Amino acid sequence: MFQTRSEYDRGVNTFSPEGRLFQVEYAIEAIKLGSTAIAIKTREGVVLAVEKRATSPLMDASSLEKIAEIDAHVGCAVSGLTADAWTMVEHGRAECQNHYFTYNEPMPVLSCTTSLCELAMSFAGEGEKRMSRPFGVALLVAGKDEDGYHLVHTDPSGTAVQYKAKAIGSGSEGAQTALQEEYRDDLTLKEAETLALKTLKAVMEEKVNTTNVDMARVAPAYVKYSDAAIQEIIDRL
Amino acid sequence: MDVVFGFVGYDFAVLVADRAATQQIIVQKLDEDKIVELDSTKIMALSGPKGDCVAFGEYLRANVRLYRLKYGHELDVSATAHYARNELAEALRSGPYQVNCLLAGFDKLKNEPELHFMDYLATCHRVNTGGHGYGGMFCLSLFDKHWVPNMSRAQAMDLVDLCVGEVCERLVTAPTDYLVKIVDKNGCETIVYDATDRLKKRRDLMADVAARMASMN
Amino acid sequence: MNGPTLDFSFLDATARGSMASKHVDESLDAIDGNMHECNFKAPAVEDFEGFQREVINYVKPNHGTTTLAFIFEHGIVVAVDSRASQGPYISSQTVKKVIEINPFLLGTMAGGAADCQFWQRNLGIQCRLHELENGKRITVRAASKLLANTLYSYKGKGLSMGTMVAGWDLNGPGLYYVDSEGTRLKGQRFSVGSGSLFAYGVLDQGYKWDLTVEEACELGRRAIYHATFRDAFSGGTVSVYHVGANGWTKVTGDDVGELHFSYYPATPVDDVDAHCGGEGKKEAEARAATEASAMET
Repeated sequence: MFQTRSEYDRGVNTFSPEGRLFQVEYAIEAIKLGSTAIAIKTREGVVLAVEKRATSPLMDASSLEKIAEIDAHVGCAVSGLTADAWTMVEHGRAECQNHYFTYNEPMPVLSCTTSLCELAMSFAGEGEKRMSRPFGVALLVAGKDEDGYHLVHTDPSGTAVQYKAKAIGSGSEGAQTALQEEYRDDLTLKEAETLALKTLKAVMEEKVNTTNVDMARVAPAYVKYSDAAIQEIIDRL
Repeated sequence: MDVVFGFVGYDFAVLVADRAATQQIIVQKLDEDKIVELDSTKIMALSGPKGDCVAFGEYLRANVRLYRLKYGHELDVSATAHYARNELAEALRSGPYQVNCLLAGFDKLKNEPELHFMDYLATCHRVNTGGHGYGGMFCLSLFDKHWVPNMSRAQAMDLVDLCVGEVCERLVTAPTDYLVKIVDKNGCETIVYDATDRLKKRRDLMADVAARMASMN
Repeated sequence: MNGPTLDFSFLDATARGSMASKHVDESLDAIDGNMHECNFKAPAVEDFEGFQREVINYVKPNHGTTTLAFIFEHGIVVAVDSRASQGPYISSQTVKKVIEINPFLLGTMAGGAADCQFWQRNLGIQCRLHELENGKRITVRAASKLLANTLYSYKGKGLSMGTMVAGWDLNGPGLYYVDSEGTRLKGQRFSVGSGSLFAYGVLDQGYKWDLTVEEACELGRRAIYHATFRDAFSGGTVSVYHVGANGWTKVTGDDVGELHFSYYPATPVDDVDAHCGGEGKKEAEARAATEASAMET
């Protein structure tokens, strides 16, 4: 097995005889090294929560940004190589603005994620814009448009899947199971906040506080939670 | 119509420019600065379409400063003039700059002030006195008569007085607000010059003449 | 060029007088049958391209406009008219000449309407991306420079714009004039467009730093109204915006015709002299009285 792999895991555009693209799979593996990010969709909005892992006590945790605004109605949480995430976020921002410029309406969330996935697939293309490797990042894109709320997960293979609740990153396995058990269709936004942070707390090594988690919601506009708001949710746990 | 002129004195050079930003027959602004400070000892007055002046001025200023950071020493005044002239020459056949300028500065090595005259056709002369546009033309004859080598600052200001007075009296739609910038080895000094007093003196003089003529009869 | 042309003869006065239904049917046939091949006759001139270059100036829309903006103690007032003209033809009386770039930035429109709308929307994009990337609102200074840089790069390519960028940022109110020549001027008081001379006349005389918001809005409205009165290419409605620390608000939109009658009511008055404030009659009567009393004595 290892032998066959080593022959076919170099080129990003070459399938192995078993029908696998190893570089893409490795990229997906890279996300499992990233910090945990959780998103929960409710009828009242979508909640995003991420863990901020400071690898040194001398590190300023406020400079670790893992939640970003793409447009007033779209936000995202990231896990994996954050530098790659910013390339995608900036692409998403430009696409949203260009859509507004051309059609005079906010960009539909699914169009936005499709466009992000196209960028994620650019390693397979040709020409100047071609990436030499797949992006090592997964996004949880939360948004609101005329069809209601959306929560979309995109990964390095360029696949976009809609979820009711999703966890990515190092603690994703445990978190996803917990979400599966606790999720209900009639969750309120407030309950979702609590559930997101509770799940995050369960998979984090450190104790949850305002410096090592970040939260945002799209309900219906993107808002990042202040430290005080996060503290209030922590107190609810 | 920009009024721009300048000359050299004993250990300094003077540039004068009006402060009006105009469009056709409208004065849009009366506190514009048309003299760019390239660095502490070099200043440049620009006249022409506003967009070009700003773009060319900012471009030169950035490159003069970049040169100092990159090579660790300053461009001297004549090198700057040649550099600017070359940019104008290239722009003449390809690009946008339709600017006339006067570059004044103090050369620390030669220990003397310099004035360089340039127009949009990329002519470049080192001169003692110079001016651009119709306003500049009125000054040229005054320079020929009144400019002398090694002028003091007081003499220089008197000459500026004369020139501005002449422009105000003879040029159609002459501006009344000017900026005078004096550059020497220590840097650049800016003087806000209001020509209304100067104009009033001329008017009083003419009124006096008229009164005396009337009393003769 | 040699294809069938539309028959407009039924519009002629003489033809209309004796117009039979058959006549109309024929002309309709001509339209129905060859709708896609129909083209208008090219003008009979030797130098067609030269002619086109010359007449393009007459159909360039919205060259006539009056817009103004000024900074005062309580922010900025932006006032504009709403008429669009193509040569001597008024193509619209309801053009929106204030472009709302974002809740804190306004742009005004003079020159080519398409150019202004396109590039100010483009500026809106650049401002929004700046905001997303830096996490704070763009300054008016930076926004106007973005627009000026864009326009300067298209200099000589035929763009026609004269715009003001007004807004509120960390430094307080900001006002810049930017045009398609690449000019960018910072200032306290600008008016742009064919009616700007008239607007300046009213604006300059009434301007003070310590106007109240109501007074300032009235000054802007008055200046635009007087410009629409004198300038044939300005008219429609006067829109007045106020920009304060919390962003812009639209204050009023008044039809200039109605403004005219509110400023100069056409109601009959008994004493014309008293109504108009002229004191000539009173003075003449007083003079006559003094003269009469002098005669008596």
